[in-house]
Amino acid sequence: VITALHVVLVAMVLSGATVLVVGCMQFTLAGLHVLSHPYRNVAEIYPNVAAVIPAWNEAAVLERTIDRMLSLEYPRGKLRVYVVDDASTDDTPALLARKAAEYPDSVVHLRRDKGGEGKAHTINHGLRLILADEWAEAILITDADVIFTASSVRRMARHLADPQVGAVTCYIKEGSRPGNFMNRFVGFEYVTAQAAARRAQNVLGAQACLAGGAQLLARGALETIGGEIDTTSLAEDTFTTFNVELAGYKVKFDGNAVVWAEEPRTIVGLWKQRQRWSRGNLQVTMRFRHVWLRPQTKSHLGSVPFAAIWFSIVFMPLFIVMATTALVTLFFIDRPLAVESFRALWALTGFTYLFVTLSTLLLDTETARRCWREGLLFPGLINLFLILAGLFGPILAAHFSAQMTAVGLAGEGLAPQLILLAADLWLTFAMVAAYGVKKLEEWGRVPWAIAPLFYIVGYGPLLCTITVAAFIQEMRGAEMRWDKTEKTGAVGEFA
Amino acid sequence: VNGRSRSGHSAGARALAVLTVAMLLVAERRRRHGPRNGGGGGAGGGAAEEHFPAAADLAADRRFERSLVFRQAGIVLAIAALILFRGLLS
Repeated sequence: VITALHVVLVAMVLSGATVLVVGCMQFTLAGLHVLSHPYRNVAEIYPNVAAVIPAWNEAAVLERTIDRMLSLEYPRGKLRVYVVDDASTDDTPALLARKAAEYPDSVVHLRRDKGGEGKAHTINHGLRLILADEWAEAILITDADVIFTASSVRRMARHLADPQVGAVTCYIKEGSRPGNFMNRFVGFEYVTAQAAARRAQNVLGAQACLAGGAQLLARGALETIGGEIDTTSLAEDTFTTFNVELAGYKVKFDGNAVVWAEEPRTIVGLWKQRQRWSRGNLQVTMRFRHVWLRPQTKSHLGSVPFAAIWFSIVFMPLFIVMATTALVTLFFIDRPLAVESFRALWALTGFTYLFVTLSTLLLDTETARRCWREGLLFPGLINLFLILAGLFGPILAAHFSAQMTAVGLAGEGLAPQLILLAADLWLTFAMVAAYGVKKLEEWGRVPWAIAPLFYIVGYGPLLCTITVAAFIQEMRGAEMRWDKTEKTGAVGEFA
Repeated sequence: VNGRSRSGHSAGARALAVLTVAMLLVAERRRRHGPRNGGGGGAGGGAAEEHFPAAADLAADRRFERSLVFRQAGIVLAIAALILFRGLLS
């Protein structure tokens, strides 16, 4: 007899696929991007652009970044680079003095004698000086390690021909060469999280975040939000995005304007970076709580699809724990329904995984050639096995029932039941396992085991674990530290 | 699955597979004429002349965005074919 409890439990089980289902929605919208006429109001314009680069001990990467920026396809004299040196203690000041002499009208060295207040304060120091002068018509906030492709800034600038557009961001790609397994996972993730998700957000009319490394703001929009960025959170770029949109401006993503950035090479490095982002997202969630699910005339941030995208990520671990709890409960109260629910969850996960993975690989074939293995193994080897079990379980069982019974893996024995229970628990346990791999990397004794274990556990579960850690830190009111991601200048040359 | 519906499934899966390939070929053809995002930008690059291929880039970007429709349609069809194929096996 199916009771209300059964229905609730099955719904809880299926909630485990929420992120992937919302991912499918995003990829569907990304495919329909052209229908939102992303280039209807663009024109070839070249506003005076002031690029702001916050820098603390960035001598390893800054020279190439400045050289590159000043050789972009952008009219000479219309792009200036303002490097805000946050009291660097390495060769950054000497390097900047040299660059300012080399490009006397284009490179400005702004030195803060008292540093350490964080990136947002550093950027604001530059913004105040830039806005005190009439020259800049647009402000490009970027990072010291970001390498712009030749046409990227002019591709972004063309959107500012529309006076309703207040800010533009572009497609940041992982560019570490030679990259390791982590760089390739991030490379694949960025196709999903940027190239696809931000196209979908263009269609919805609301962008969640101007990519921190490439935010082109119209001067008027920046002045409307107070001429500076938020310094009270860990997600100043998302705050800027929301504030610009709530002020009535559009924020656009141009997926054909590309920049390259160096991303963490280790689990610990990724952990620090993403924990900062996740905490920042929680801070945004709370600070803009008056926006969620409340339709507004000025922006689409309050729409239901946008909330679905936002909260599916924020509450991702919650959905997974709910699904596991429901599966284990069903295991003890209704074994056949537990099996059916398990198969339904993993079949749903399987189809959505296929859609998202194939879409990602075909959206950016250049990245796909480099990162396809990490793309396929994004959920982890064990989760992939469970997906196959969900998709083809009955077929495989029918073909191999004799062999499985012979080794005790089928039938009513204890082993099949324990395997089912372990499979039910894995969804949540994968997060614990991801944390274990991170601790193993910190321990440092078995470096050769980290990559294989990570492929087994998966990148997705690690992101869930980081979100949980961010929740815990935020609830504890832990200090907001800006853990700088160390850059080595390993971003390759891209022809 | 009885014989009649099995053959229906089979024909459906084949038709979907053909459509998938067609969609992906169209998408690929459009992608080839897609955006030029090369590094360039070195000394003596476009900046010296200050004549940038803005119109050509815009046309290429539009073509690329149109190609995404076919690409996504191809993937949907491929998964539909897989669902039919799975039904065929069960």
